[in-house]
Amino acid sequence: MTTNARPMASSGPTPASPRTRRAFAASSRPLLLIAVTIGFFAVWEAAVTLTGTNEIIVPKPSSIFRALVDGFIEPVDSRASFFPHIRQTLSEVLAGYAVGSGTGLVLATLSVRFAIIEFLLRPFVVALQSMPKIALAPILIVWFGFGFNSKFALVILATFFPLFVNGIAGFKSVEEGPLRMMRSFGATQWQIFTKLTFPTALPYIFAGLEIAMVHAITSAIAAEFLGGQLGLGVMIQQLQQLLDVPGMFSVLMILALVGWLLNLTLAFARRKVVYWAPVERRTADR
Amino acid sequence: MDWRHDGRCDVTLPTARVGVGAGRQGSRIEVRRLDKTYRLQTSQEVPALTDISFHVDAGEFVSIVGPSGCGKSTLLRIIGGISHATGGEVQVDGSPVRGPRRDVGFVFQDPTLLPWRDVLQNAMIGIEILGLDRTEYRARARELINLVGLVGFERAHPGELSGGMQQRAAIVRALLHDPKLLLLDEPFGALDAMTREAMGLELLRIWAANQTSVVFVTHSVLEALFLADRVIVFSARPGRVLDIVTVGLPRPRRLEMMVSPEIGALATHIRNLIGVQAEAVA
Repeated sequence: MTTNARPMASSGPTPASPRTRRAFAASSRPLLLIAVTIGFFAVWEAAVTLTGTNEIIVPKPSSIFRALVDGFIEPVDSRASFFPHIRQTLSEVLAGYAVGSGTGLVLATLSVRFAIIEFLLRPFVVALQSMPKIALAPILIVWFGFGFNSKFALVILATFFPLFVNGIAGFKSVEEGPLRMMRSFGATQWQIFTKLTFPTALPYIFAGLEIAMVHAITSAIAAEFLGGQLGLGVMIQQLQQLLDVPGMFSVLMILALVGWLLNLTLAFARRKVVYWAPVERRTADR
Repeated sequence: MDWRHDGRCDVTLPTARVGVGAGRQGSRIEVRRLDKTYRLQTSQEVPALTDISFHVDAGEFVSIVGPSGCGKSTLLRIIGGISHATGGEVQVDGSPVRGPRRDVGFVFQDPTLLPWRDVLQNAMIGIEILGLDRTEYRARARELINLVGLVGFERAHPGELSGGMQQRAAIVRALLHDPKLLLLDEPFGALDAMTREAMGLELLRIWAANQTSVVFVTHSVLEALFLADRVIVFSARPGRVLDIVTVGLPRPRRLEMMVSPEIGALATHIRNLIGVQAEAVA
């Protein structure tokens, strides 16, 4: 039994296709991106300057940049500093996200395990799901006040559904073949869940986590628009009242950055955890 | 081990089994007056198997051949304890089958490897489920991976393997817990003709090295005859035993036996029984 590793005609692994051309394109991509970005801001700056547009309508990129720098160099305990607002919004988003998606996943698990739970939950889920969750924000503010709690509650509601729905879809995506294989070894329900059902559902769960992240940020900001002391949404409202449009743009930039970083973290985690998922899933969002 | 173009095996077959559980005998199976009827949602009853009786001797290789939908896969699942008969019984080594058995290994048409596990981890899943000693069986898994020609692919994931390699990994998984009975449900059905023949030879080699009893379900008459000691011929639905054919060819089998007059005569006999006039020769 020494030399039988030689693969037969059709049983060898497919060799990697030559990628020299693609590798070159990929390596020059960041440079291209930076050039286009710089070009975009240069044209913007020139257009506002040359047309003499009022900065209350469209601010120059240089003014936005100044507002960004100002917001970061302010003392941390000042209202004008970005930091307390970023911290507030981020904790609403992350805490609500953890609780909401966790609850969604647990209830999805229970629904798949016990048909009666799904039967009882279904009408409530459908009713709540058909409703724009943001419409609940005013009521949540009546119940929980203008502080952290009302935003936290809205984020929970917004992140629950993607995980509940995707969790159920994922758990039900287990195919007959692997199930039969597990049963042929006499696997228990728990062994089938941990070794087959849960890993099978993971790509769906990650898709749900990504949708939930978008909903979490959106609903936290929307709830902050309705009122509050701290948060990036609150900050945009206050800057609007001061007609500080460059300032508003600077907050938008921070929001974009925060959202991007959160999604990047998720995408990284997904690639580490669900490494076996089809390649098109990974490339589709590049 | 080296397979030449004529399919002859140059190296002497390893007859002594190695590692865990060495020296065990294959199971003897007794199928007695087995019936299986499916009840549809319309409460209409569809008979799948009627009055099936046969036996498999310890260490014997038996093929079941029959047209699609004749209930041969159902029969295999009943023997393996993952499906239940509506009448009659199956005994393995004298005790009736009531559920999945620890001493049975299953190979399905689809390799059903778990994509997040590499070859070694996939092979080990039965050991984990059965709660056996992982360290001990990991060594045995490497021996079997060696035996099926997957050396160097222990850490490869199913997505990186061809269909034939995946099915070999599935065979390792089915053999690892030292079953006394190997049940194969059209295991090479999804493979191309060349790979299929080579895999058949490998299966015989593995069987010789492990001394299990084998029940091999296929719809290819030639494959059934080439591999087995005896071939059980099933009718179209509802499945019943039309004949049990003894294949008198010497072992080890060689690919040229596939076109021998004995096999030709038996194949004609079986095809006449089933009523299939022109089967594509695999």
